[in-house]
Amino acid sequence: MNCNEVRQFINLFLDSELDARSTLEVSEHLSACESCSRRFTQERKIEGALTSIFSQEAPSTEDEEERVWKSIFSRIRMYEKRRNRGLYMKYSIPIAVGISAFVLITIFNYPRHIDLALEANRCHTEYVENELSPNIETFSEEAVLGYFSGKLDFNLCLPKISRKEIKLVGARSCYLKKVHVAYLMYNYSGVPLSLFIFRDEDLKKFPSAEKELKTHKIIEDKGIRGNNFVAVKTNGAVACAVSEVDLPSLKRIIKGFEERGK
Amino acid sequence: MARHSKETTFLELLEPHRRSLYRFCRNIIWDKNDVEDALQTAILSAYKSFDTFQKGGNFKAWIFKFLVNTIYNFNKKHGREDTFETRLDCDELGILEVFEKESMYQEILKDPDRLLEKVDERVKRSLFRLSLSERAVFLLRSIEGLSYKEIAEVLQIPVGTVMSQLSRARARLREFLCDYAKEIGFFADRND
Repeated sequence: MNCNEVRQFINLFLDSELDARSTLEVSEHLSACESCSRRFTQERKIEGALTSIFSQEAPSTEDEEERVWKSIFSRIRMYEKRRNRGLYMKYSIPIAVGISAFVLITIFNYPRHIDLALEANRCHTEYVENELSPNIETFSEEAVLGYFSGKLDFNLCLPKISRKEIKLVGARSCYLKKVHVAYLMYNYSGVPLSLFIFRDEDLKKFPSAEKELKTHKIIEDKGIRGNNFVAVKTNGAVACAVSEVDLPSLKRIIKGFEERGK
Repeated sequence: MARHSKETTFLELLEPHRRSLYRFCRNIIWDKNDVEDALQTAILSAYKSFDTFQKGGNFKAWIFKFLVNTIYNFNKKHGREDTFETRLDCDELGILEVFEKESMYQEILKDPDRLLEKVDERVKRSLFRLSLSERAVFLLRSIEGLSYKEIAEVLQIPVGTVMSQLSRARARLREFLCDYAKEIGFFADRND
């Protein structure tokens, strides 16, 4: 590079914007050419002086600048607060309404089951899940009556049911809320069915069932963990049935019990 | 490690460039009464768009872009619709070719310190005799230290235009320096 060519690159060289090869060529020329080297140094000095002049701010401007920045920072904080409040308002009200609606719907739809139905279902479930087994396994009603003979302080009678649709499987003594009951296990078209019979005096241990049976001959409850429940009071005893079997069939079985009781 | 909020992160990145942004705004805006509003508008709109800033990116160039756009809109209000791109002959990259007062300038270069120690507010005001685009390019390069590529990005002009405008700005500033030297009798002193 000659002097004229090198001086074309003053700006790019001083701004470090030249590519590596040209930078090397300019540097080599500057180390060999005193005139160009001096010119570059002087240019750098002039540029530095101008930069320094234009960078200076009067002290009064600095105070003003600080005031402006404080005002900007406060605007950012305000914006952030408003944004957060906006997000809060945007989401909190729908969330609160949603939660309230869910709670209300849950309360209104919460199945309020009969106390006796819940207890009988608990026992039935234990039987279905093999946690509870019959003390006597038999198809014979006589054998069952014999098993309970002398064990109960009320007159046990079994429902009058067609043997085709329901089969006796076994029986055992058990307790529902400390009430001694005769527990009879049946099989209705392959579906387990539990029948509980106990003294009607013990009905007071089940207040909601007692209340219902004062006004209704037969009481029913459905959808207790997928099972249905039907109960009837007759001849000094209470009989209730629990099974997945549909309510009309359960009612028919219980009615058979009622008829036998008479 | 504590998780920084958007506000804290933004303010931490902004801190080293506050002075530059303020100074640039003052030197570029048409009406000095607009400095506060323009800076506020620019910083707030940058803050609102902070999610678009890529972590580890060039924050200085990114935020200057907001300031330049805002200043452009403020100047527009006053009918100052200068864009940052002007039509110039891009072949002229050196100082010598565009510089008409070369002989006077050569005289200054012989002993630059003698003139530089005499400079006052008048030289400072010469900055405002540059066009908006020349001033913007010169300030971003010489004062703020942005590369040509970064300036091109901030002003949204080609790198070639940055180079030609910078060259032109420097030549004109030196020309004003010559005028000033003449005005204060620098050359007469020298002849004495």
